[in-house]
Amino acid sequence: MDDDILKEFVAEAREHLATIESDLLAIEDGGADIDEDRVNKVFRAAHSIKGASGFFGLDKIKELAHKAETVLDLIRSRKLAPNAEITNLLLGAFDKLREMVNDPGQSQTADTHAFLVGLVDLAQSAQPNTNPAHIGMLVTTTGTELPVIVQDDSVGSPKSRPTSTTNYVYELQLDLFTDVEKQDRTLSEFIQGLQNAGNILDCHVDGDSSGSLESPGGRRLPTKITFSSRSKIDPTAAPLFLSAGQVRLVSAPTESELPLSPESTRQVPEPAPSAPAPSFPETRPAASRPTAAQPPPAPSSKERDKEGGAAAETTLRVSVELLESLMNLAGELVLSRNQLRAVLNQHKLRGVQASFQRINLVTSELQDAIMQTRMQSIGNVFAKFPRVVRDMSRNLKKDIQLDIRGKDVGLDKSLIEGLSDPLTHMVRNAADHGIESVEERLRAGKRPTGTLRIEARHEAGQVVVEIADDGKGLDPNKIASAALLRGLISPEAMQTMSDQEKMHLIFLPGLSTAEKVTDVSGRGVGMDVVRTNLARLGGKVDIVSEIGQGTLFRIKLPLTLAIIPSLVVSVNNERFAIPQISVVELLRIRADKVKERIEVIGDAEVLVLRDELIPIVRFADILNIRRAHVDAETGESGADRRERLADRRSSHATDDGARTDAIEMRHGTDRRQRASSDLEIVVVNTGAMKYGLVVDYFLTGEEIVVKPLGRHLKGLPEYAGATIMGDGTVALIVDAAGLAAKAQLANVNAARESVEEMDADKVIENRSFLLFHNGREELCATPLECVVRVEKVTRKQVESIGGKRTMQYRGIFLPLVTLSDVARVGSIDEEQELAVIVAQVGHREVGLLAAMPVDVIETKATLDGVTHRQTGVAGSTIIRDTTVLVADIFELAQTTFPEWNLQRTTEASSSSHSNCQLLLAEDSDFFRAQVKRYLESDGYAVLEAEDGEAAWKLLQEHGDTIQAVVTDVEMPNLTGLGLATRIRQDARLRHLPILALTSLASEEDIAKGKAAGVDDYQIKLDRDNLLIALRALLAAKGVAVPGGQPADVVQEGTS
Amino acid sequence: MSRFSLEREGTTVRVTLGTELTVSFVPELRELLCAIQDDGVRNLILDFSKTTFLDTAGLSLLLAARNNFSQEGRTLKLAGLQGPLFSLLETLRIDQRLNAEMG
Repeated sequence: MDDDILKEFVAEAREHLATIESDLLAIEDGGADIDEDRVNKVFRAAHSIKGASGFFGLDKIKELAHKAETVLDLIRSRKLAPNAEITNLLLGAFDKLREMVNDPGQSQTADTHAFLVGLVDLAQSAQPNTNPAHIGMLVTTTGTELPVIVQDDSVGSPKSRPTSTTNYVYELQLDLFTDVEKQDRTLSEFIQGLQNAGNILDCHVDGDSSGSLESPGGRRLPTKITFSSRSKIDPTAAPLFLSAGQVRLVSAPTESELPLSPESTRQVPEPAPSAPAPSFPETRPAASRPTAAQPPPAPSSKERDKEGGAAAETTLRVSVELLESLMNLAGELVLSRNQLRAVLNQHKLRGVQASFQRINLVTSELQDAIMQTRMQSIGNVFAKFPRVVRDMSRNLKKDIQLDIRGKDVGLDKSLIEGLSDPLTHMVRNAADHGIESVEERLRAGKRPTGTLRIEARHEAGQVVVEIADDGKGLDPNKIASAALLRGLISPEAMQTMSDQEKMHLIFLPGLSTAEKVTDVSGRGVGMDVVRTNLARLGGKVDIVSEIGQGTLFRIKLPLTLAIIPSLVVSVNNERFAIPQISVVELLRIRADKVKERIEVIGDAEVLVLRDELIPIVRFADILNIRRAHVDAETGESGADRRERLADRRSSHATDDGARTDAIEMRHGTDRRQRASSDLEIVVVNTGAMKYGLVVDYFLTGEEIVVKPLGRHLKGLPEYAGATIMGDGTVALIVDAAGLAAKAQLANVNAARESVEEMDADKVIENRSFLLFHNGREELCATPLECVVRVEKVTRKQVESIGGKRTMQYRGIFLPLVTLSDVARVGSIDEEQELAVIVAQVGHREVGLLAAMPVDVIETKATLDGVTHRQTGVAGSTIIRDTTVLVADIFELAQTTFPEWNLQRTTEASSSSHSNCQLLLAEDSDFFRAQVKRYLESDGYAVLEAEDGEAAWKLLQEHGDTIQAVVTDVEMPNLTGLGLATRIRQDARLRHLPILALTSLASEEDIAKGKAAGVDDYQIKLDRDNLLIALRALLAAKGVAVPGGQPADVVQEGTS
Repeated sequence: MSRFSLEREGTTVRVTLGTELTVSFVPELRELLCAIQDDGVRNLILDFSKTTFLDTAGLSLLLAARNNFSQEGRTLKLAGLQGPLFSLLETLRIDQRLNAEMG
């Protein structure tokens, strides 16, 4: 098949389908008053899709389009009045068509049964004696099962319909899991049995119920089999062994005089001559047949979006006129180039200037024209909202009027694509949570019908999209309280937040996931995602909301992503571009006014801007470069010694006399009087907040071409990209929000960071200790991970035999130690209640005698390993304001039982981290994360490296603490084999076991690996074998493995 | 040893299955296929040349894999199917859906 033609078909069909939704909704609105033009338009769309798909042999598409066309024809001829049911069915059918058209390759396997039946039934209801050539013979199954169509045209494959009327035709509904597998039959046996008894005419395995790889569908595999047999079949006997309800006789031999039920009155219209005419009984009484067959369950809006989203357009239609103007401009450019060449040859400066002007002009026009080709009307995004809102208002039983304005506003194609999801989300939120139910609205004294306004317009070189509802509005305090409850903001922060800032909290990720909070705030599911998506498009969101009155989300977007207007500023002779979209205003504060305009609150500087106080960020501080001032007279730059902007050189003199002197000394030539000493501040808006960015100079406003930052600069939140200036130098593009975060301005970002910090602490710092007493006043602790069990014991249980203190414990003798055996600490009193802390030391267990009470505590306190350090005491820490000695049970045992030959495997064994550290080198992020999880789940600590070179570096730094290397083979920079070779050549590292992970393990590969020094090969995601192999390798090298279950090799000598 | 072997060439991966694809092998294969998909593989070929037995759980996994690998330009192919297995898929009318080829 010609690929290009097929592509063209897909593009055209999509175009046809794009506008159908709104047309169908308009047709539904019109009811009996039919707008023929609209119906014709939809009819033509269906018709042309039918024609083209027929040409490509895409029969399923053709068939569905055909049936839809039939129904539309009936509407057009006023034989059928469009209502909600009919519209739903048509919408669903066109959705299905869109899905099939988007993936023509799979369209033949798509399940269209339900739609076909619905449409056919609809057509029949309108026209009982219609021409049978257009309508399939219909067989309706019992209950809620989907009906089957036996096709009357040549679409179906010969296998898919009964070819003979001398057979009994059955339809079997079964589940391959419950009806076959669980009955101790294999799939092959079952199918074989059927084939022995007759013919399998058709089969439909419901592949959807298998789910996806990530979310398997459970043990269900519904299957429908059409089966024919020469003789009658007992459903409950061989070969079926099904229940009677699962088997339905569809047709019996024509010569048979056995009507199945008295109700089989409904005759299916005469089929086309190509198919014989079996008399199909119907088990459902004809009278109960609704006007339209059960429409298939409409896909949830979410699914629909997914489908829509998956099919991002890759082609674009451009008007010929525009192309011609592009062509003309290209011609102009050629002429200008020739002109430039001519004047360059003549060395005429004036001529160069003239041709520059011309090129300048042509370039801007060309840029505009090309932008035009990428411009699409935002109406393309808005088009789906009538349906979204309609469906939602029906489901939620709300009355919502949708008001869409500014459909024609043009926006860059890439923006249109990226805008679809966030806008849909916000519209849905507004309909779901914003607008109240009719009752609520009436109670609140509002009109019962809620209004949802979606508007787009141009504003100052940007596109503004507003989503406004007249619903219940956002309550800033509720949102803030919810954020406080979730620990996203501190109580202090909450008090200082403005309402605006509080409302912006709905964009915090933590807030939006909490179900309860959503109820409280009324919004919020995934709003963080909305903001992230919009930010990616260079957009900003503002919220205006009043409780009880409604909410307005205002999104500001650049016209295009590729070229943005920006303000170029200079800091310490470096240039930076600030996107105009972030710039609110520019301030130049005269040097002698600085003290009035800038105030110091706490240790932060704020700018007094009209009646607002806004924080100030000095760009130079963020960049960590020396602040400079340029001497106005000499032009030299020198260090700016002011600590604060508000400081003047004389400001340390606080009494008036001194200051007067200073001013007098400087009068006349004081640099504060010069314009160059003025302070230049860009007031920027991040959406959530405003702040002043102090720069050295404003340079110019310029349209810049955005280039992404290279990989090495990735992860710098303060920059959004880079651009190349006219003189060829590179300027970084400032990300206002990122910069604010970097400057740790008190706002939402600060709150978010503190949350992240907390999380980080949990991972790194939080440790659990078992607290116990030694002497009466001596509080001691030991890391909980060393403890196996704690047993309360009586003094009688402690035996002292042959100089050894032991206790009978689970049938063996448990050696006991006390802290006072080896350390200079108090001893346990006679009266204190005893406890034994059982700990694993090496491969033995040892009991530490302690005094009750015993407690477990989690703390972030750090361990002081110096002040109280002595044998058996690892150090001290402060818990609940009390000094606590941290016992080192390992050392205690080591000192008390030197004959045990205990050796600490790693330094980390007394810490909370695992005691066996591995180095994992793997370049695929996915595999690295996966394998790391496996390893960590088995108790290893894992150092990660993204290639061999990084791994080698880590080995150089942490070689002493690494017990083994697990490496991928194929990696950039340095391969796994290269890494192995280096390790084997390094005297310090050559003992390390190396395990190579691979997906390609041929004998040859393995041999190569062995030669390079690899000890073992394992398949990447073969978790169990990987862990077993690793244990064996470590054991062979005499390293204790984590998890307390040592491998066989090291188990010798254990009891 | 692992019960599956992998060969990778660019964005194409061929997974050769063992003698049977049954419920006991499904979790492992599912995990492997997930990883393969997440690792950016576009074309997945499942090699059935050694496989003689397939049960419902295996079939269900194949359908799930097909659901994943029919999206976003990815492909799934079942290669090297032996006669009885191929005709089983053919009878169930899923040979084309699974892009199955006889060995």
